[in-house]
Amino acid sequence: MHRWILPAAGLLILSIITLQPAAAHAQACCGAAQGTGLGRLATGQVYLVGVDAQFREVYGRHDQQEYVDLSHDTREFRQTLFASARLYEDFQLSLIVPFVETYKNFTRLSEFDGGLGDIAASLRYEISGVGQRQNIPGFAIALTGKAPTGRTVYESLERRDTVLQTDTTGTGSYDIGAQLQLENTHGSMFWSLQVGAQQPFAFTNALGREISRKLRWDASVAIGYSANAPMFADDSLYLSLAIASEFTTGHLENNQFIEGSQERRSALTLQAGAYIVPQWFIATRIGSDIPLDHFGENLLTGAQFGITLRRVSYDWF
Amino acid sequence: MTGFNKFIFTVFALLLTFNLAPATANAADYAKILNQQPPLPLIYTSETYKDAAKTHKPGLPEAGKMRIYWFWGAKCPCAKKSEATLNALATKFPDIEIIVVHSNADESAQFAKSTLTERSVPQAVYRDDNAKFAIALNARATPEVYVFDHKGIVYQGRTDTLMTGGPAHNWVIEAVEQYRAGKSVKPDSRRAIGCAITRP
Repeated sequence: MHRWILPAAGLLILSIITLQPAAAHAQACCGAAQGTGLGRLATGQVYLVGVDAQFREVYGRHDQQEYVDLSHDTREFRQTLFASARLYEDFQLSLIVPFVETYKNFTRLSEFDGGLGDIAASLRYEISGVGQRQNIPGFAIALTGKAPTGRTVYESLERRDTVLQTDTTGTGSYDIGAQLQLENTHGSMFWSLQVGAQQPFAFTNALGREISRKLRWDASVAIGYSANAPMFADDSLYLSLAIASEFTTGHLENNQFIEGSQERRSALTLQAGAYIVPQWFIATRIGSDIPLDHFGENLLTGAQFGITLRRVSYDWF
Repeated sequence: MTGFNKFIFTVFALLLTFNLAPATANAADYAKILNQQPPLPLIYTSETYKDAAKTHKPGLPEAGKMRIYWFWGAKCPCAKKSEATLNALATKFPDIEIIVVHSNADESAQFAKSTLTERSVPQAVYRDDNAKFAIALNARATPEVYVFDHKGIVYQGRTDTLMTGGPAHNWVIEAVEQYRAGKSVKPDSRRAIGCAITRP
């Protein structure tokens, strides 16, 4: 039996349990913001800080486009600190600081190491808020960026502290990109669509070779439901199911294309979140990359479980 | 820098430039903005306000008076929650003119009226067709208030702490009390929380 059967069954069961019909009177304005994204500010919020913890079990990989089970254990732990602040009326500035640890067990060798990952930031501009226009969805664009504060696989190899490169935590490049975000609510249902592209800048690795990567694209679609749940602060339990996909057409070393370096991955994630008290939002999610042929390329495939806690504020002071 | 990077930098630079303009009018501008608005028709009145005018012509109140515009939505649970705050305000300050405004373009006046009747809201409510009044004031959410004296804005934004938690406050009452005590209202605006006012 594939190891991904268990998380997939969990997703299905949770979907059936949580998506039971409920009265349609949840807060209509903020569904998409609560259901998607790590540090999105909802209407009325001026800043938030939060922490996210994720456990990922790697169970396979796409060898070119064909899915194969992985024979050794790989687990990734990720803790992310994040903060978002509203600038003027319609801008949101977000900062994400991840810490990544990896455990690998290969034949008789076990390793666990990690450290600071690549710090990312984004500036989001909301052109039209959800519900502001009749029959027109909320519409925003975001400028995204990433700094190579993590350790690359090349640095890991040169450092020689690990054999299985479990201390690799970053990609090595500065990235800059843009995203287009659409979202809307329809009664208790909400949806969001996000499409983005990131351009990594070239960098010189520890071996003195110039590494450049082509444009990386990502897209995600989420549908959600604000279930009536009077036990929570705003009477709502925000549920969402998202499918996300990312791909890049490859890497170059000293301007020579590296064969087989194109990458692609698609994942399904189910999230449930709620305000336990008015200023504290907690969300939990389970998800899995899709372990089927043609749903990925040259990337590891895994299932993840995550929990997010964020403290929102409606006033600066 | 690649063409792609130049493009996104340019887009954001332009957006930032346009966004730096003040989102709301200053005190002196409000008289002009309000006076330019067409009369708002009355769509609902409770027994308490049975003598309410059939239309309301927006404007600043006369000297020594206060006027409050309270944006309300029929489907919005936040607006519903804050009706208690609205009623407390009306009871505490019967001399202050409170104009409850229904602006949502996706809710008919009839639907608003039936919702108000069903909930027995003890106020008079005026219709803002095509959300023109809300757009002019840059009101974005329900509930949201604009408190005026004869010179201009006194307080704008959030009504209470019902959605934010923390110690209970009726921000509108507190603003009026500070104003009447001769103090400057601080803060004079709080970001409104609730459902977006739907424009056409």
